[in-house]
Amino acid sequence: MENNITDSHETFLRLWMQHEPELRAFVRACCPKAQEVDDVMQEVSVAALRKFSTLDNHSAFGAWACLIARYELLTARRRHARDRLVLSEDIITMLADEGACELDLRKEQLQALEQCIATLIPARRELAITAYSKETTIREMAKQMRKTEGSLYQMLARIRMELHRCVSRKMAGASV
Amino acid sequence: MTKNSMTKNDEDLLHRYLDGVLTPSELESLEELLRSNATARAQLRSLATIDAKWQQLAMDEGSTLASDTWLRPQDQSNKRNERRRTIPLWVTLTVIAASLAIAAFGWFLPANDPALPIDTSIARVIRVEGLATGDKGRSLSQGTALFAGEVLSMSSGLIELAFRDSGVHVIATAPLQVKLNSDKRMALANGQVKLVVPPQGIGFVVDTEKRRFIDLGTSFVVTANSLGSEVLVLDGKISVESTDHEPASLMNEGEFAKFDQNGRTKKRTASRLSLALPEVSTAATNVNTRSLAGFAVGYHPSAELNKEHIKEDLIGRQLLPLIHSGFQNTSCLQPLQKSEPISFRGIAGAYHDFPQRTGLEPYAEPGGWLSWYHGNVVPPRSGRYRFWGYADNHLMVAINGKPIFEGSRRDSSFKELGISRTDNPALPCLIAPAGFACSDWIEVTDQPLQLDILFGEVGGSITSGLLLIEREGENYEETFWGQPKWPLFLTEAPGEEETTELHRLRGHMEEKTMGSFSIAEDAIWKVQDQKPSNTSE
Repeated sequence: MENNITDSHETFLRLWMQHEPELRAFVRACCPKAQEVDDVMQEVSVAALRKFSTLDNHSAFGAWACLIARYELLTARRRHARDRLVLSEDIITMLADEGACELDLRKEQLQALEQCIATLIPARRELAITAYSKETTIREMAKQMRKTEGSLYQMLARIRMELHRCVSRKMAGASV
Repeated sequence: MTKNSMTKNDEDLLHRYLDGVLTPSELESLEELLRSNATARAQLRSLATIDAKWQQLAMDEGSTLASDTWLRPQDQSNKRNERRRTIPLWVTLTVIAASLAIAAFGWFLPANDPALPIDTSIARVIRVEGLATGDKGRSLSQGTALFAGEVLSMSSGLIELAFRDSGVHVIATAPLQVKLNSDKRMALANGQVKLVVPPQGIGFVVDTEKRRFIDLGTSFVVTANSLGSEVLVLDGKISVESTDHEPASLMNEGEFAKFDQNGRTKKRTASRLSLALPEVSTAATNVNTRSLAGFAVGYHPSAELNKEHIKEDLIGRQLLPLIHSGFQNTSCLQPLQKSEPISFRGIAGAYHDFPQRTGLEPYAEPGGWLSWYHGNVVPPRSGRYRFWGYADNHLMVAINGKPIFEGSRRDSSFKELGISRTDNPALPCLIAPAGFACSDWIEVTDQPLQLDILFGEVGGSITSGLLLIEREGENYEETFWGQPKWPLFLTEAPGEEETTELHRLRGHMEEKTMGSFSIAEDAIWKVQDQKPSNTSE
């Protein structure tokens, strides 16, 4: 009995590690605040572990975890609906349902992204890492860099678009 | 425009959504766009993938990565040695799995459950200072075996113990009431415990009434009493869970959080703790013939600062030629603004108001500031010495023109000098996440030496530091956490008022940040042959 449970947890951990980056990206699209992603991911991991014994086909782990994430996203949305701006349920449902079918695409995008980030000039890479760090706020960064918050957001958007184009090019090249 | 094409405005909406800065009317527009446009939804998912990746990178690599990018390639290998340990997300899952397994196998005993009749010990006492009792009032001493379910109590003093299988090492201070539930779990009702958890002990749990702290391969300190609990992470990461089933959160090295009985949380970072440090107010501008004299420099308020990044160190880089010349070539100081002449009063505590106190203001705050102290000193005795300390941000000591100690934060340009240094995160100090930095030993005689000290700020107004000196072979009193209270490095005896302030600072540090120091007259390196020309350009 003890060995079976340990084996099952090991299998779960292996599958979670394998799919965690795509799931994180899946969740991020439906979370208006980056900070909520960690909370939702933690809820998803706990719920998935508890329900893991009900999953017969381990090759479907990603899609199955997306279903759990979809539920947790909607739960989080209801929790936050009164005190902040959140997307409507029907839109989260649409994003989640379509996103669940794109897990392979996410995986490819993440692989291409590794290469694209490696080619970014250091200052841009550093700016993004700092901006996404939990220890820094955009307001603090803007003050220190003598820039406006708006201009920093624009810089981040430009970096995002640069990476988006790079990923698209790489994936188009790979599919030729 | 077709239904599935996108305008620049549409793209902007997606970015603003991901940045979390949408207005209510923009949210409406975005919803309309996403409802009707499959391309927009697909693009949002792609951009969110990029965002998630950055988040993951920032979490995994932190700002260490950021500072690395400023280094020359030859410095990267040095820097790698300083890279802090990061714990991947899967470890969280290991912990979840472990805790479920604990529940499944009945290892876990809630605090009010009776102990299981296990006849093998789970831990052993290493040291006791004071009277410690276990179950049925049995007295605990060095070597006493401890069993699952045993409750340890102390009214004063400390007890040090090690768990047998997990290898977890614990120092607990009184007043103490703690229950050793199992080899992987303890419940702290009252007192303070510091844990050092080796890899085989990952997942060790400390329960308090309202919070559960789960180790993810780390060292941390938990304090609990009737008012709530506090935790500070010395190294690695921990997961904090509420007993009220609120979502768990992760805490990283250097973070501190306080949880009151009503469930409110107050999380503080090292920089916030630095803010609360006392600032010794004695005038630094009282220069006399016994002073190690110096001045502070910064950029003029009107200077055009080409600062590409928040952490970019302009002032440190500006002074590198001075350091490279053995502190002889001062031409790099020409464009800078100078404070009044100042005297070295040690480096201890906060320096948030230093630019005002030394007359450097007004200056360009984002460009940072540096104080340079320069002169000839004589060590109190010949022998081998080494420096200990840290600073937010710059701290460097040079003897006879050669840098020998660097205790700066990772964003300092002084890192480029490749000064040998060891970090000691196991010596806890809340405001120095990497722990105390330590120099190599240096051998000195009783002859005068040229001493140069640089201390300062990369940019902003939260500055703190500590500079201590150790003489080989000396015995120093230690804190509860095992840090020797090395003497503050001084070049003249502090005045009465100054001493009082330093004692107050030490009390604050011991209570709030776990670091400490001593003040010893026989550790003072006295100034000799002061040359005024050394302190002016």
